[in-house]
Amino acid sequence: MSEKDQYKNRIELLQGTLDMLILQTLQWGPQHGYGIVQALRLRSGDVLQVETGSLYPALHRLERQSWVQCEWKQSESKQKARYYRITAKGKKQLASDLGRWERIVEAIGSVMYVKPEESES
Amino acid sequence: MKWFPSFGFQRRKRELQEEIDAHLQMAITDRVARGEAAETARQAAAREFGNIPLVQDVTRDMWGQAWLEQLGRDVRYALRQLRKSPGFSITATAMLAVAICANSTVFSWIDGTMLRPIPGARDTGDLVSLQRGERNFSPTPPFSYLDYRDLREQNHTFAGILAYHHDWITLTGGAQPERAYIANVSANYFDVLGIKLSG
Repeated sequence: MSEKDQYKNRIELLQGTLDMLILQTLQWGPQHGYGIVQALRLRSGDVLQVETGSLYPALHRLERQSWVQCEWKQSESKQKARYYRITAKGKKQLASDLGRWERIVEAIGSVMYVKPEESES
Repeated sequence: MKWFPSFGFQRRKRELQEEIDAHLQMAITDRVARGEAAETARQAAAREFGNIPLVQDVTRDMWGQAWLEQLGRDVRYALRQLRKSPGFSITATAMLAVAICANSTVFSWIDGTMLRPIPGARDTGDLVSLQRGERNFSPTPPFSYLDYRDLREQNHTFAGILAYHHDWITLTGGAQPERAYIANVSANYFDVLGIKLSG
């Protein structure tokens, strides 16, 4: 049970960001779970290693919110896989996630890089 | 043993299993393509994926039906336990039945005698008895009719005052004489109690 809770915590910490990353990956075309992991790792220069314990709950949550749609298709290597496709609703969500992400980065940046003359104690 | 088959849920579970299998298969294929031995590739892919039942578990939580499956499991477990020990089940059922019967009997008795003692009367909670001397069901000395009339005429406290005297009488004239329990009451008896006589 505690192990499961750990997973849940991790999802919560990453939730907003992970959803955004998945939706962005699907912008480039329908993809299966394994493909999403690979794409994120490649695009991030091997920095982002998404765990399956976070990825699959996130994908199924996105599906439940109708931000992605699923279908079973054959991959290039003749492997039957569950492909996820971003929906119009998902694209809207991605835009709003991105806006929120930019605001957060900006806000954190303005805290972390205060110029010395502004931070008199 | 399937007592409550939930086809949709079972189908989704199977689908999730297939999805994870596909993930592992693709990881193995990639590794083999990079030159790993099949067995090493399989082990590495499984290690990289992590704890499969746990991943399935947290993913299923996202479906919003986890509690339903849990409930179904609990009910099935309870039924199984009851079937395993019929003696206990019968005893428990019988005790519950007796307890419920006893409770409802006592309640209907209280309801009839204490909560609504006089059928049809209004505000029975406001009824009081007037008597003098020691508190008693047959007070001594009783009020005379003149006492009652004085009390009624000078009453400023009550909505009304009635008088009654209960007694036994014998009815004759039929084939058999009959003893009856009766009450002599004042003319305003039904008015004060608020009982409307129909007919």
